[in-house]
Amino acid sequence: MDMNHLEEFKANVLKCMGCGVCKGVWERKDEAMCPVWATGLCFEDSTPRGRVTVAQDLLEGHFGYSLPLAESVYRCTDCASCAVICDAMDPETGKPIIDVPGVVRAMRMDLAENSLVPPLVRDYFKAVHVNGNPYKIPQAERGKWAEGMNVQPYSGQEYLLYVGDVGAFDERGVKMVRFVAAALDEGGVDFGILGSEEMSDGNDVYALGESGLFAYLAEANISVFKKAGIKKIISLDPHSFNAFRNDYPAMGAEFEALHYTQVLADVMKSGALPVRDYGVKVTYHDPCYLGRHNDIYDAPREILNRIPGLELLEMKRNKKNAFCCGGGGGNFYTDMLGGGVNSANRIRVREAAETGAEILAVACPLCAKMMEDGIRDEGLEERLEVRDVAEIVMSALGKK
Amino acid sequence: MTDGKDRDNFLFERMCAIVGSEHVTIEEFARRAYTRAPFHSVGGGGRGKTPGIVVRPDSTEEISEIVKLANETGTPIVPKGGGGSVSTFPPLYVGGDNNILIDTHRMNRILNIDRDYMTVTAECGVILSQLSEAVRKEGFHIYTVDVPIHMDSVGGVLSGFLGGGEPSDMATCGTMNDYLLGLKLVLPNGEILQTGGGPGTNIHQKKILHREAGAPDITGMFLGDGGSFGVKTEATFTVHPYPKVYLPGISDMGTDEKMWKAFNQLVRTEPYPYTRLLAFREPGGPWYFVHIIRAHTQEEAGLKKKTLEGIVKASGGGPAAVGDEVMQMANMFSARRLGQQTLPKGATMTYFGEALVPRLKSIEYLKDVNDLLDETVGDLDIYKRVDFVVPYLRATTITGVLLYFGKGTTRDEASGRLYHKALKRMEVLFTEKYGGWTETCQGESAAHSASAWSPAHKDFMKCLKKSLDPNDIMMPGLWRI
Repeated sequence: MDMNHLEEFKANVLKCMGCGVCKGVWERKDEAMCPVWATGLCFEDSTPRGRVTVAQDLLEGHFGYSLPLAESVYRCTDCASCAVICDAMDPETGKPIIDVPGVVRAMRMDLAENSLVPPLVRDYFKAVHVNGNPYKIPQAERGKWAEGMNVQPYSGQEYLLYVGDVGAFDERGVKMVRFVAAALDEGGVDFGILGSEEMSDGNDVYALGESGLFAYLAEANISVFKKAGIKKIISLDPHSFNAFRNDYPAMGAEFEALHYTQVLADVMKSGALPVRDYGVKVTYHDPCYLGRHNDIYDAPREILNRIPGLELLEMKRNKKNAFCCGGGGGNFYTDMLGGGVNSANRIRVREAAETGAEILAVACPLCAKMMEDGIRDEGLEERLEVRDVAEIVMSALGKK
Repeated sequence: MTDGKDRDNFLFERMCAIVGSEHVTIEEFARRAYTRAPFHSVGGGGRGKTPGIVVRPDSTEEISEIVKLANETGTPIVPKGGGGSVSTFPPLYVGGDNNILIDTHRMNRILNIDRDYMTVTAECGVILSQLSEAVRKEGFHIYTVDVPIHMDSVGGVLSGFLGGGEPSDMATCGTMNDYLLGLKLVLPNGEILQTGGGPGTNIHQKKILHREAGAPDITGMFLGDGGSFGVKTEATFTVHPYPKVYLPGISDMGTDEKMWKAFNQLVRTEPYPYTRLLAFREPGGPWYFVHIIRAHTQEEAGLKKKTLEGIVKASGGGPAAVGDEVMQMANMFSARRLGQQTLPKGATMTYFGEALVPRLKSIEYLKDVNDLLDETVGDLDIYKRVDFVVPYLRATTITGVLLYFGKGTTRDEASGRLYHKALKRMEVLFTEKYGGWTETCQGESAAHSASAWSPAHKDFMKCLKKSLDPNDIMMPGLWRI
């Protein structure tokens, strides 16, 4: 059975000395950082150290890929906490010597090429392949979220606002993108949208190992961007932002990728958004693809800190140590992780509630949905409300 | 019932009935993931035996059912804790391919923190950092191992080296087993036993407030047993007021003579003027002391610091003016995580070769270990070598060599040579020449350690094991006696 992608990590996995920091708890605190391990429902193979061990065993021929193994591999949320925790850092690069997220992606790519993906993952790929999005909604409806708003099709504006699948089709995502678009508009940002010409960014397709489908989506998007002369793209979703910033350049993309919080932070700094006193207690959840994957921790906090009266309360695990919501790496669509009472989103909203905040701020539509589900499951609706950063800005402007 | 598949199916179905099917696996990739321990597993063929089935129970009662089933079917049992041992933990070396491996991860609840009596009771799957954090939140301190606190479990550490690991405060406070009051465990016949000075030995006392009184220290019998006398499921410890003051320091001790003079004076001083003390050097370089003082007041810490600095000065040492690399070493040795600091530039892996040796033999032992490493791995690309000596109370030290391998050394080659050549010779060195113990004595070196038992001790252990475990179910063959 082919394992061409994993072969590329052969030297890498042999460097792991198996200390297991990656699966364990963070420093002296009492919470596991790996969202899979934190569920308390997995065997050793589903821990980061276990994944490296499985990779070694695959490469040494002790067993081959199989569907049960795929079920284990696809439980990873690609949150990269293991990469941050790993003790074996290469001082030359500042990155861990053992690239566990890379190893997981390589195994997923091999599994996809060997047609050994679990049914839920296969269904996701199929939906994106056939419909251009996982919601199986016609592409023509991709710009429907903007109805009734002062949002124009892209025609040479400074920025393209790229909405992504969740922003375009998910009820929670639509709510979020409307606030983001409104805030950008209020701040005088010159932007347009692609509407039905926009396609799935492919970030989660790639995270789930379907490199062929990802290449197709990326090339199609890049072609549209180039044709329209787009130089700067604001992403609603950190997942899109991650793909645009880290994966698209290798495929010929030549645009500047930004997340909406970066643009909004600059707008706030310029004073273009005259926010008023807004006396609320807020805690902010760092999305994995904005934080650990792209080192953007300050922009969302700068926005919140510029709102008079707003008290920003940090969760005990924040920034690079933030705990995943469980929606990354394709799990938002496949729900391979599961977890019951200790599912990642429930653990995270419990942490948020501990701060005493009344608003849980997010900067990712997937996180927004995961957190709202977590709050409902924890029965915290009376204490905690999920709002994205732009929605909080609009509230502080008195526009909500 | 017949052997082979029928028995495996029978076991699988029964296990599923006991703990639920989602907590049982017979998948090879999952089972093999349990064959790994830090360091040892990297290449060199250094994997442990593969369990036949892995089961994740949630309670003492479930473990009891599993053990009874194992007795019924003649299937060996291997209990497993956090899997963080840096010293080739026992589950890798016992039984055969039909083992039942009991993964205790789900038993991770802190059951009670008694503020009045200052005790904590926890399930044995609790990870030590969880335990430490839980009691700290209540204003208490518990002595636990420091490396790797993030993944060693209560049960694993109590079953392993010194019956309580090597806590950061071992220099002055001993190990976790010194603070253990009682255990709940499942004996090899499936019966449940509560030890300690509480409901197990005095039915009129519901709390466990001390070890057995007026009776043999049965609790102690299960410490350092490698899991072969039963599966530990709950443990009660005494806790202490949290020492809020943390005062680290580093001294330049120069030559062997100066360092050793100060070292011996420091371990003789009462009260101890440090909580943790460590001496280290790179070959040819000066010795350094890293000390950590933990105290309840600044005044107490200041007095200890003054005493320590006085001894250092009288021995010819003084405050260290050190660069980043020495600080990195100092930080690593005072860290709470394995290799907490990044590896030095150009290094790819580390290795500790350490043993519990009589204090007065420490420097001689260090020279022997270095000679041995020169002969066995000296031709490999070694980026850095660091000697270290840590007092363990007054009579003994943990002494060893830390090796950082360079990028020119593959892990396969380094670990293969270390564990299949150097370790065997080290076993002879520390056991026979120095009468000491290695931290691998509960793992790969268990049989070698047992080979040094006196005939009477061996007979007693055989008798004990046979009476507790007539079917030789629990960790069979650990000591090969």
